Amino acid sequence: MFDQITVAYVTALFLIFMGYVAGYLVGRLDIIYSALRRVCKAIQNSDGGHTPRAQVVGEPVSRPARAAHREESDFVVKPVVPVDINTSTFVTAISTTGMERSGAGELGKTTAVQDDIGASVSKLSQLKGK
Amino acid sequence: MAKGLDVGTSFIVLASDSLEPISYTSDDKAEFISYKDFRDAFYVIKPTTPVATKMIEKGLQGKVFVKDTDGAFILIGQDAIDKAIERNESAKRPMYRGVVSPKEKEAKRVLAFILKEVAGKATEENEKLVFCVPAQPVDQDDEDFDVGYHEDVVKAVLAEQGYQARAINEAEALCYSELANDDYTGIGLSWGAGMVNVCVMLNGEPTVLFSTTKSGDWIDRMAAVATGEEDSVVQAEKEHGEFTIGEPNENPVLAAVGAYYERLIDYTTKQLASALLNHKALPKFKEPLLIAFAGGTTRAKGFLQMFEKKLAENSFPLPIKEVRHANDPLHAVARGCLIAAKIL
Repeated sequence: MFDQITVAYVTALFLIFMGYVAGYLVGRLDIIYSALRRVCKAIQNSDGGHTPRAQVVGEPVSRPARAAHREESDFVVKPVVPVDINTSTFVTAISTTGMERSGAGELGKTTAVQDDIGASVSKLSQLKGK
Repeated sequence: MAKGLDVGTSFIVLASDSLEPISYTSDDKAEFISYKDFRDAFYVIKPTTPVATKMIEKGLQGKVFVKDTDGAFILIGQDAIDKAIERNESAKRPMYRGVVSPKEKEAKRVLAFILKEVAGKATEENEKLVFCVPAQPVDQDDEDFDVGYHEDVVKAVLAEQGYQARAINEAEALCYSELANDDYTGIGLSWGAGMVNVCVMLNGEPTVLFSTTKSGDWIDRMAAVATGEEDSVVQAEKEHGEFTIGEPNENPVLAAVGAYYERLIDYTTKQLASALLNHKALPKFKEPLLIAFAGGTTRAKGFLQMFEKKLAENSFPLPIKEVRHANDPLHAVARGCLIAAKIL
């Protein structure tokens, strides 16, 4: 009925068309893949796949909000560890080895004065309750 | 037995008590306080040849000095200042602004040596000794000043000598010494070489403590810059020359010293008024207060009058009953430390 040239022509057109379709599908493979995953998840979450149509429930969540939500859920309240400053003596003995004193006599000038220091001590002791 | 130690930037003073008979015929004994004053300064001479070593050693005959491991001669105390002036240089200080000097490499070792010499060994095990430390300044950033390390250095040195040492604030010690007749209520100002320390005391309890970072050394420095002299020369002129604050002087060094004294008193009273105005920890005093002051810087003529004048001019926020100079301004802090050592 058809001659060989017509058959070859139609076959060629079909192959070209299929090539376009295949190319389009390959280009949209990521979208197709994610759509298929969503459908599969929805089927899994529904009652054994008997629901006539897969449905994503819940409000759509934008990407930043999702990230924030994840950060929030990742945040763990850690117990506060008090950091104490060591107030005990940390300076070790300062060596004066090698410092050899020369020359006689006392360093400094000594004086003595009569002083009723006992009265001051007594008064302050009373105030401090000691 | 107990001892009080005023570890100052310019002087280290040890106070210890002793009982001595009133007369040869009486058994009654009077209370005496013995003070040992030591000029807190050192001067290093480094000989370059063995001949120079011998010559220097000969020249230092009759003086107390220290021979160090590197062959250097370290003069300490008043001799250090005298030698520095002789060579037209400045003596070094193991302390700066009330704490161990970060400027001098040898500061810690020299200070340790001086403290060991002045305090000596404890007369009994764990003898109580109270020494003074400065307060946090109100006119300088916190990061630039810390008392903790200085306190530990002094404690470590004194512990080695067998003392159970404890630190109190310098102005608090002054209040213990000077406010006995006023129920230990009032304000104490200790004008040292490096700083002015302030304590507001109520019934023996310090309520406000702070310091300012300009004092006697600042006067020396500024007068030295103004006249082109060394700090040591200015210090010597200041301590031995005749001048009155607020009055003109023919000697250019003393004229500069007098001028900077007035500026220092003005600055300190302004800081004092500013720090105490609306201070949260300041008690509500029922009666006018006594202000007691002491320290080597206050020995200049006309200090009391200028201080009173500047307190009034700079609107001191509390009513004042009296401004009183300590009887013994050089020893008042050490005496207060001794009183504290007997109680604390």
